[in-house]
Amino acid sequence: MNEDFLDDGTWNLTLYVAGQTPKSMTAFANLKRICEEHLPGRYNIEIVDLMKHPELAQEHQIVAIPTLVRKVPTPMRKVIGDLSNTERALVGMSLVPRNDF
Amino acid sequence: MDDYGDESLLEFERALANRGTGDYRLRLYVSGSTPRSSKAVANVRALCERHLAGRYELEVVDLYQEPHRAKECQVIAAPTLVREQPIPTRRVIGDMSNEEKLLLSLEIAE
Repeated sequence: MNEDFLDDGTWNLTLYVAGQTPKSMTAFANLKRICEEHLPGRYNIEIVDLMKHPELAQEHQIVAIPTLVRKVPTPMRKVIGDLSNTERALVGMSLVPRNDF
Repeated sequence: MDDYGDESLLEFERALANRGTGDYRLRLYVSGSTPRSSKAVANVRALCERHLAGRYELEVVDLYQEPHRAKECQVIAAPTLVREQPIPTRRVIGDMSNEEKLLLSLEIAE
C-alpha cells in the first residue's frame, strides 16, 4: 500500500506554478474553492513555485503551468490550466461532483 | 511535506487575501492636463474597457494637483501606470499608446 495514503481520506494536492501571476492566482483561488466545496476538511494544498525550484519541473514531469497534481489518493492525476472550468477540473481530479451518484 | 510547498502556499494565501475579488487595481499618474496626459488616460481607459471590463478599478492621479502622491509608488516620470493588483506590482512609463506592449507589461490577456 502506498505509504503516503492517509486513512482518513485526505487528498494531497500540489499546484505547480511559475511565480505569482494572474493565472497562477486564478488557479489557486479556483482550487481552494473546489476543495472547500467538494472536500471540506479533508484536503491539503501545497504550492510548488518552479521559479524558485526549477529542478522540480523535471523531477515531477511538469510540462505546463499551472498544473495541479493529485498525489493522494493514488493513482496520480494531473490537471493543466487555471481550473476555471470547474466540471473539467473535477473530472480531471477524479472528484465526482457532490450531486452525482 | 517539504518546506518549499508550505512557503509558497503562505505567500499565495496572503496574495489571495489581498486580491479581493480578483479585480485589477490600476493607478495612472499624470502630470497636469497636457495632451500627453489626456492621451495616456484615454488609452488606459480604452484598454481597461476592452480587456478588463467589469473587473478593474482605475484611479488617475494628477501629480500637479497632488504632488505628494508621487512617493506612494515612487513615481519619478509621468505618465506612469502602476498595476497594484494582482500582485506582484508592475509599472509602465510612457504615453500608453502601444496597447500590445501594455498588455504584456501588465500581464493581461495571457
